[in-house]
Formats: sequence, structure tokens, C-alpha cells
Amino acid sequence: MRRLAGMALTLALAACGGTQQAAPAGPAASSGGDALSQLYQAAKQEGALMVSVSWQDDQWVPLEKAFSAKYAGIKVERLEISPNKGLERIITEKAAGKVSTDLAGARLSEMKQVVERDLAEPFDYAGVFGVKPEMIQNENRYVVAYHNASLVTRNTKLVDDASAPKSWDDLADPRWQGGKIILAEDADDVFWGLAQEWGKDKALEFARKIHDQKPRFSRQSSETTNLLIAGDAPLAMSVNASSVVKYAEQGAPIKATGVSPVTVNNNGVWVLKDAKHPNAAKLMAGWLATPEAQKIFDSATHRSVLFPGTDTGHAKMVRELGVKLVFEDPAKAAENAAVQKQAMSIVLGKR
Amino acid sequence: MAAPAVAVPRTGWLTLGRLRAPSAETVIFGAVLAVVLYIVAAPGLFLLWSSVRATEGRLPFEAGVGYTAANYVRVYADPAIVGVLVNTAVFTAGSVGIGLGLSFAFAWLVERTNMPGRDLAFAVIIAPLAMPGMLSAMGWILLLGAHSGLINVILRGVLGLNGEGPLDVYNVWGMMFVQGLNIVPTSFLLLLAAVRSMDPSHEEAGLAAGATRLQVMRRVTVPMLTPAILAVVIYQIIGTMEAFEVPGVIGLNAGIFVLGTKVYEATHTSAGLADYGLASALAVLLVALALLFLQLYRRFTGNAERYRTISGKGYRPRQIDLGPWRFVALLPVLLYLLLAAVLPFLILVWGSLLPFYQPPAAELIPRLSLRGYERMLQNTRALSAFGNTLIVVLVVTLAVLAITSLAAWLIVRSRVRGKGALDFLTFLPHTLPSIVIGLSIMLVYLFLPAPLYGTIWIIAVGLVTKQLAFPSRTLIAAQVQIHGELEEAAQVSGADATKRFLRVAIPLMLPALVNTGLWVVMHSMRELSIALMLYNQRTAVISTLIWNEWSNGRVADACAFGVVLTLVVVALAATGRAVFARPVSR
Repeated sequence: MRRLAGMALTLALAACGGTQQAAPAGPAASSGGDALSQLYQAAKQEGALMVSVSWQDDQWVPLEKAFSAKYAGIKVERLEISPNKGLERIITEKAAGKVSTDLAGARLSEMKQVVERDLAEPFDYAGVFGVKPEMIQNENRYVVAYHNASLVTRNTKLVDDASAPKSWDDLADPRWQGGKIILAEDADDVFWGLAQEWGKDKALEFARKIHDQKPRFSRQSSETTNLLIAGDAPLAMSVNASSVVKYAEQGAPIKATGVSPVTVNNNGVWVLKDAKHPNAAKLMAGWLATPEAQKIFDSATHRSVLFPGTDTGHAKMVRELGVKLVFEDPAKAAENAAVQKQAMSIVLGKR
Repeated sequence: MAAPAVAVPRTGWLTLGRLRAPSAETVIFGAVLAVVLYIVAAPGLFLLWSSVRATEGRLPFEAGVGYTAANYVRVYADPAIVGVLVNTAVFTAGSVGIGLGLSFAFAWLVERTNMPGRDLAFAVIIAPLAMPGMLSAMGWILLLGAHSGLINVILRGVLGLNGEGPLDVYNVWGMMFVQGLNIVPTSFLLLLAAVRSMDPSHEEAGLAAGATRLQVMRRVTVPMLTPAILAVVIYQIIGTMEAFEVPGVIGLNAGIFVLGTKVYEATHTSAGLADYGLASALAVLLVALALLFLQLYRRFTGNAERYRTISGKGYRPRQIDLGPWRFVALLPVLLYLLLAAVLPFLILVWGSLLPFYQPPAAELIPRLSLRGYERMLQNTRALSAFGNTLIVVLVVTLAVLAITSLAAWLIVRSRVRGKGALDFLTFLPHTLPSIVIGLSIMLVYLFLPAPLYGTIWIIAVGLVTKQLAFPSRTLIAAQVQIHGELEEAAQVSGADATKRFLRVAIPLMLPALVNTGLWVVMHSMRELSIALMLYNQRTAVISTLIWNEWSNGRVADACAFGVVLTLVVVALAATGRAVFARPVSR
């Protein structure tokens, strides 16, 4: 009985928000090299950094090595966790005042939740690191580390160049009916890009057309790519550009079509307000946006940002497709989330 | 002055003059109930509490989240719920029917007959339990996909067909068939010990009276196994109603939505937070059903005398000689093994040897390599994950067996008040979505001053919570089969409760304990949702490692881990049976 009361009390305490840690002091903001140097010195004093991102070893290790070579004296640990599960964990830990993460990965859809709860520490990344302003979003709280461009992709053994779809409307052609198009349940983000470009009504109408095509569904994007390669369906509606490059290099029969526009999702990092090592976290976050880090990321993972002027293999490959890129607008995060959920319900036949 | 009489009234309290001290049985019951309550209370209460919290875009405990009935309205006032529940009922009935029929037949063939290869059949029938859920689900697509599924490719080749198919599993029959196969290993284990422990004299009496084997099976064997069969039915009904892998892989493509799909959708969002309120409101239905089924179970098995198959009279389970039919009996077993174990395993092996999955073809042979296995051996996190898994699995198995064997003994044997509550509490976690268990445990140990958060022990706590239901069902069914006279004889000879449990109940339950232990080991290795919620960079286990490889598109690496895991489990199962299985006389 006492334990039950204790549990009830802990839940009640959690509802009240738990304890708060005082944020450690950082260097005074100033611009350019001095500020960066001060930041590094403060980070070195902290000596450690805990990162929670979904990036796997072959994506993370080259970055960590390069960061540690450039900024010695900071021991980096990483937890591999999906952005939404990572956010859940941070919120739960924060309620108990026991946050373990300094730097967390997020897509823009998670950043809406982060900003609403005032979890992220703002910092003048553009000023200190000299990176492109478009890479810093949500009022200096979010650093875009790379973009995922969602491409309509074909299995080259089943669909040749001539018969590949050339536009989104082509996907509604009867020849692609009956399980010929595969998409993941979690690939609904393609629809916010279409809504942003065409308007919501047209995007939802397109969702109905896709539903009428009786597509195949997988549960996750990685499954979609593997099933496409395996020939389970000739077309996939949404495959990451980096996956197309990676598998094509290994000889997989997979190639992007030029269907346009292409939805581009942000993936980035943010520093926690109550982080134990805030300066180390800011140092890494800002560094990830630099051309140096972007090149390392690109060569290791075929990923980078896709903003105009980006000089990476990933960006070149996407530019060569000749498609129009629709970038996420943080101001429209809530609207985008609603339309993609609604569109996917239509495609799944729930409405 | 004569010493006061010592009486043992129904409540289990000793009366010593005016003093009332609890009996050993009551003390043990109190301790077990306290432990189970401690384990189960947090997730159970969290489920009920979060079901009435306004959790759209919020976690249930966050500031500003109010109380609401909206989750229940969203679920049960939605006109679509009728279709979902009808689909769920049909899917569940068909799957459980197929799974129960197959597992009963296999349990009988393996334990009671001289079918050849019984020990290997045992190990391979339960081997699918070792395969991580995401890999086995993918395996079914790769086997039965209309265009490139291996079985369809073979059938088209043999039958000279073109195009796609001929098999199409994307319908309710396909769902029931695959789910039915999926539930065979667990149902088989649950039935096996009961079949093994049957005193054959009842069947022999039937045969001696002139009944045919089929009549004996129908009128003696099956009725005597009612507790075990009902335990399977109850466990699998709840499990199938909550299942999301087959409905996710096949049902989604067939346009068939079931309860498990809805729970999955609420707890696995593409972006943003899981909706714990909605998931909990859905799960409350399962909790209510569990209560109902447990009541029915107690009513059916209330007159327990008819189910006692282990008594004080000596008996030796005997094999039935099938004669030449023993080879025919092997055919359905081999077919099941081929479909449910061998082919999915070969798909895993093939997938582990290629950089990306392609259907088997001769032209790909030059591309086969062991790179996936090399990376696995070079992966320092893999070694640490294997080590963590070993520790967690050992601790969880011992803890679960200790708690559930005691609970089963108390529920069936004791006369203490409140054993119905213990029965319900041990079954309750089966109705709770794993993700709800994970979050509630995370929350509790973030606030409690116990140093578990961030360690492998918190994962162990989560797994113990989730794994209580199956062992408790199995061991209760095993206890029901044991005649009370055996313990009464021990009691009359002066054995206290502890001795009766350790020296009478445990040895007689040993076959069930071994099978249950194997099940806990295998499920602990593959359990993913709870581990994903609670692990950190130092406490990764095999299931989280495989998940991370899989979800990041490293198919070869995920398959390599899956192959190794499956082989380890098959070896464990075969060894466990060889070491612990009592020889059966011929």
C-alpha cells in the first residue's frame, strides 16, 4: 500500500514538472574566432559530451573522429535512438530532473515539440561558426545537419527509363495499379511537400488517387527500400536520396526517377537547456553545420544539406535529377504534420 | 496444563491459544503477492491513469495535461471500431484455431508417440521464437510476396506459370494462416508438459473398453487436457488481439485493420510522440477481456479432480507405437518446420550473405560474402550487447520462474484469500502494450531512489514484468494436473509449506518449468519494445542492436545477428530437452 502511495506521489510530482537543474555558465557571446576559441576552451573544461542521435556507426564514427581530432579533450558518447523516442526520453528524464543528454537529434516535426516546451538552448551558431544562416532554424535553437530528399524510385530490372513515371500524375496511371507502388506507413512526409507546392486540397486529392492505385505498404522506410530492391514492387514513392546512392554503388538495381517536386526533410541537432555539458554540445552542433563536417558526412554516408550552393556529392546527385526541392518551413511545422497525417489516412483507406 | 490445540482453519492462520500467527503458506503468499504487485502495479496503474489523460502531442505526466474521456470517445465512439472489432474477432478465432490444432497435434506426436526425430522436432518447432519479430515479418514477405516471394517463385517454376502469384496472402485467410503458424511455438510449449505428464492409464482403460484411438483422443485425452488447452486459448486470444506484426505486414496490404494495428499506430508514430492515452484506452479492452477469461477459466477448471493426471499411484508416461504411420505422422511436422522455421531461416542466411536482399538466384552466388559476419565480429558493441543479453536473460529467467512457480502453486494449492487477485495480476502484463510498460518503468525508476535507471537491471525489471503471463498460465495448468494427495501425504509426514513446494511441487512441475524457462530465455532475447525504451549506450542488448542495424538499412548485418541468435537458441532448446527431459518408457 505504501508503495502504491509512493508511485502515486511520484506520478503527481512528475505532473508538477520535477526539479530543475541550473544551466552551467558558458562563454560570453561574441563573434567569429574569439568566440569559437572561448567556446572550445569552455567545452574542454567540461571534458565530455553525450549525444543522442539516430545515426548509425558508419555515419557517426567518421564525424566523431574528425571532431575529436579537431577539438581534443572532449570525450564523446553516443546513444543511438530514433528522434521521437529520444525526445520522449528527454521529456521523461527532465520531469525527474535527471537529463542525461546534451545534444539530441531531431527532425523539424520533433522541434515543434521541443520549442513548445522550451527545451532547447539558443546560440549564435551562424555568428560563431560562420555557417549559412539557413542551416540555423527555430530562432537559433536548431542546426540542420543534413537533408533527406524523398525520391520516387524504381527497380531498374522491372522498370526501364522509357516507362518510368515522369510526374506525380503518372503515378495515378492504371499501369501502376495493384501493388506496383510501395510506400512506408511512416513515409507520410512526402505529402506535406506536395501540399506546400500544390495546396492542401490538391495534395489530398492526389492521396485519394494513390489509394485507388491499391499500393503496397511497408512499416518503415528501410523496409521499403529493401523490398524495392528485392523486386517486390517496381516503384517506391519515397526513398531517401542517400539510400539510392548507397545501394546503387553496391550494384543494387535501384534508380531515382525525376518526378518533381521533391520533399526535403530537415534532420538536425539541438542543445538541451539543462545539459550537463552545454558548451561541448554547442561546439559539436555548430561544427556539424560547417563545410568541413558536411564533406565528412557526405563521403561517409552520402548525406548533406541540399541548400543551393552546397558542394557535396549528395547535393550534386540531387541537382542532376533536375527536380524542384521543397524545403521544410519551420513556421509551417504544425500545418505540415496535420496534412501529412490526413493524407496518409486517405492513402491507407481509413477515410 | 495441556498445550493449546493447533488447528489449521481455512484462512491459513494458526491459532495458538489467543495468538493468531500467519501460517507459512500465508506468509509466502503475502511475499509473492507483494512482489507481483510491485512489478505489475506501476504499469497497470499507469495504463488506467493515462487512458484518461489528454495525451495528443503530450506525454501523460506532463504539466498542463488534463483529465478527459476523449481517448475512450476516439476509440469506442468511432464508427470504424465495429469493423475493427469484427475483423479482430475473426482474425483471432481463425488464428487461434489453426495454431491450437497444430500445436496440440505436434505436442502429442512429440511427447506421446514414437515419431522419429522427436528431439530435433522439439528444438526446431520452437526455433521461430528466437527470430526477432521484424526479421520474421520481413521473412514472410520475402517468402510469400506475389512477385518475388521465394515460395511463389518456386511454385511458378514448378507449375510453369507466368506473372505473379499463385499464392496471395494479402487477405484475411493469409493473415490467419501466418498468425496461426506464429503462435504454434508458444502454444506447443504450453501444451507439451501437460501432454507429457498425463497418466496413460485413463487412455488405456478407454482402449481396453473397446474405444478406438480417435474416440479415446476425443473423449479422454482432450477433456483431461482442458486446463492446458484453455490456458493456451486464453493466452493466445489476448496475444493475437494485441498482435501487430502480421496485421502490420499482411493486414495493412489487405486493407484489414484490427485492434493490434490501432495500438501499433498509437504507439509508433512517424513523427512526434506516441499517444499513450489512446493506446491505453485500447488496451483497457484487453484488460477487461482478460478478467472475463480468467473467471471463465476458474469456472471450467473449478472441479479440478477430473483433470488430475499425476497422482500418488506410480505411473510412467508411455509412448504410443504408431507403427509405419510414424513416418506419415512426420509429414505435417516437416511441412510446418519447412514453412515456419527452415525457409525463414534460410532467407535469413541468404540475406546475411548479400549486401542487400535479392531473391535467391544462381547469378548472385559469386556476390555472396561473409562481410556481414565479419562486421558483426568486429563490432565492439556486439560483444558488449551479447554480454548484457546473457546477464539479463539469466536473471530474468530465474526471477520469472521463481515468482510464477510460487504463484501457480499458491493459486492452485493454497486456501488463502486473494489468490484470484494473484492470478489476475500475473496475467495482467500480457494485456499491457510493451511501450506502456517501458515508459511506466522508466518513470518509476527516475523518481524512486533505487539506482536502476541507466543500468541493465531496469531492462531486466521490464522483461520480468512482460514475461509473467505465459509462465504463470503454463505452471498453473501443470499444477492443476497434479493431484493434491501428493502434497497432503507430505504434509501429514510433517513437511512444512516450503518443503512441500521444493520437494513435491517443483519436481513434479519440472517438465513445465524447463519448457517455460526456454520460452522466457527466447522471448527475453527477442523482446524489443521495452529494451528500446530503457537501454542506453552502455546497456544495449541484442534485440536493440538488431533493430538499429535493420532500421538503418544494414540488412546483411541484421540478418547475420538473426542467424547467430537463432542457432544459439536452437542449441539451447535441444540441450535443455536432452538434459532435463525425463526418458519415456516404450
